[in-house]
Amino acid sequence: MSAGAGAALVVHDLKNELGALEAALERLALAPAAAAASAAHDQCRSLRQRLVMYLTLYGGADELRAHCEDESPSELIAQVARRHDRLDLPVAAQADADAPSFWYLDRRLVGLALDAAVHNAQRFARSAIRLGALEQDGHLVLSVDDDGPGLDPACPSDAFSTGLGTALCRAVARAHGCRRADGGVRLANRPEGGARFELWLPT
Amino acid sequence: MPIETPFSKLHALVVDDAPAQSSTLRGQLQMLGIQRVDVASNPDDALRQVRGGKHGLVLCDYSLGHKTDGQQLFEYLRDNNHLAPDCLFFMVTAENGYASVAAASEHKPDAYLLKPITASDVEDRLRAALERRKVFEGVTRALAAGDHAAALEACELVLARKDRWFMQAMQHKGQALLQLGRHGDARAIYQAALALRPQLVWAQLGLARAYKAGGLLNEAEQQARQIIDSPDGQRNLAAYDVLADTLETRGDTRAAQWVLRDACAAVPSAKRHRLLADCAYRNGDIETAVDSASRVTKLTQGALTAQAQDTLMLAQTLVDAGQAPQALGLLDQAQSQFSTLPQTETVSHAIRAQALAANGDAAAAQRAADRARETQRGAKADFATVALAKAELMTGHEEAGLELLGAVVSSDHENTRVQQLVRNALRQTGHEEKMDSLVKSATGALQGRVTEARTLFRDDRIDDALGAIDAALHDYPDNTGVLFQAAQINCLALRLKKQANESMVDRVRLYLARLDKLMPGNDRVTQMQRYFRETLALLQDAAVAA
Repeated sequence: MSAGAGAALVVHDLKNELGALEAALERLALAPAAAAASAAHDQCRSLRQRLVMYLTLYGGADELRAHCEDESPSELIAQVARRHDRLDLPVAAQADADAPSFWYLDRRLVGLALDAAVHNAQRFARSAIRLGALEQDGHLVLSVDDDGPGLDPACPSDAFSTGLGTALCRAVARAHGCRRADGGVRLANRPEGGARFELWLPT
Repeated sequence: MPIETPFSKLHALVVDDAPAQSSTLRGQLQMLGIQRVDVASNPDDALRQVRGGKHGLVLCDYSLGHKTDGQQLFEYLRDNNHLAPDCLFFMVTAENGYASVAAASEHKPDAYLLKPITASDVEDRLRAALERRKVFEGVTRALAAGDHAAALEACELVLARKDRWFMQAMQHKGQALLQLGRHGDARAIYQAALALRPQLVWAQLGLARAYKAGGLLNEAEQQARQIIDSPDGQRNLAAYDVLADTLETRGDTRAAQWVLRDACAAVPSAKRHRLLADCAYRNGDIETAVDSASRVTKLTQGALTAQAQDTLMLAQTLVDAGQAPQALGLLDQAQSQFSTLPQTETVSHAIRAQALAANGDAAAAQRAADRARETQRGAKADFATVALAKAELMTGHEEAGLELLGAVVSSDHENTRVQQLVRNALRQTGHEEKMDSLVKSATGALQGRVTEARTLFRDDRIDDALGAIDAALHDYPDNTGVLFQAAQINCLALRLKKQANESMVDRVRLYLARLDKLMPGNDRVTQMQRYFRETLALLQDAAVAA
């Protein structure tokens, strides 16, 4: 799929969701209800986050650029977890004991990539999502685990619905200088069940 | 009942010209438990409010729909100490502006927040900034007290934790070492940081500064040029400044000017044009000086950063460029714009006298020169005294003018920048051939007194030597060359006598403080401070041994 076709697909998808949100708000205007309002708010936030992703990927004239600072990986995954934590689907963060205490990365871009991965995990997870961080082969590996059914064997490489999430994660890894054949993004089934997403960022 | 959060005690200020945006930001801060939120809609309002010193957090939009943008406001507040030392400053930017803002500024806000902003973004950054502030509290406190040795110790404590603040502690340590005059150790720190991550700009810049401080001018030049030539380096203003300083130290004032001109091309701000105008003026490149000085006044018109000094600089360059009528118009305009300040009154009259004389209005020129002379308070090695000397020379008071220029030179006889100004003044008034004899007679007596003090010291007449150098300093209180000699002789005497004579120690402290004020950030001053500290340490050892 070309970048242009991918982008059009995303916009189409966002338009449909916006329509759904509009309908929900219309119903709410007639009959206010706290639970429905809260759901509409969640939907609105998710739409906004995906628009930000979309603009990050396709909004600039140039290739995505990372402005790296020394950041704490464990603090970063904790922040992402806090953003997505829900009572019905808790999101936890736990860095490896020997995870690096700092890593040079663009906090905003990596945060967006993890947001996308968590969003995706939320669609499949049964009861919990877990974020992790560790160092391997000169890379910082940030992971998102879910306890869902695992990857569809028919399409193991692209579990993200429109490809926006994967494209964004690859672009983020590339902007950080990642030259791995897999584009710095790995999706695999966990031996204990569920799927595991990994983002690989080089030193 | 307000919610108790770690941030409840913060008093915040939101600076934004769009009311809708500021009320959103205010609402987000309130969601974090910050109840006291003030709003400013323009830079002047922000300055007025922040001056009270009560704010612990400023959330400022980068584009304020005003001549002054958020970054300029931030730099102005920091440079003029309007922000409390523990006040956090967060800049809110649109995505596309971020890279250029971040690259061009050496003063970085505590955080950049990219639109659209959520309360949780602000919370994350606030949490991190407060933790950083806590971790570096000891360093900040020591720096505020000017105690770089204590700052260095505090850095070592943070480094020992080997946690996420390691690299930032290294950065602070490098700066503390440079301040302590330990440029060799600073170099090692920066090289260690670069070994971990070669693209670290702060370490590249620190390395250039360490080279320069150690007198390795070629290495400093090469390192600074390497930063400027790197992909993001073209807008790195600090690198241009290190390079220009290095070139000027080497005596290549023309090349320094070219570097400052390149910096202006990269970031055409008032601050940059001010530096270029000064340098070009000293170099006698009047055309560039007029051009840059007029840009400064245009750029600052109606802005927070407008200064009377800029208008006077432009007026002086216009007189030198043969455009006296324009200079007069400008001076009239300045008089109504800036209320007359005692420190600008003399120079304003002096430039007016020059312009009137150049215009052929001898009587009015005399009157302006008289006013300038009446309001003048002692000759100093500065732009204002040179302007007055020029006025004297141009209104027919040759003797008074030359005497004043002599006083300018002797009040700081090793200051090459002032000598450039004096030489230009002589050339423009047809007296260039007098430069050498003027410098010779202005410095001769002074040199004699310094040499006398040094000879007395060599002859073991230490108290006489101290008396002689002290007397010289009494006559030339702002002479940096004499101050250096006085500090040196007093330190040597302390070392010889092997006891900490309180009044001598205090005197050296006073000399060093005066030098630091006259030559901020100067490498020679830093070295003399280091020599003094080492002297004190020796005396302490001697006291312990006894």
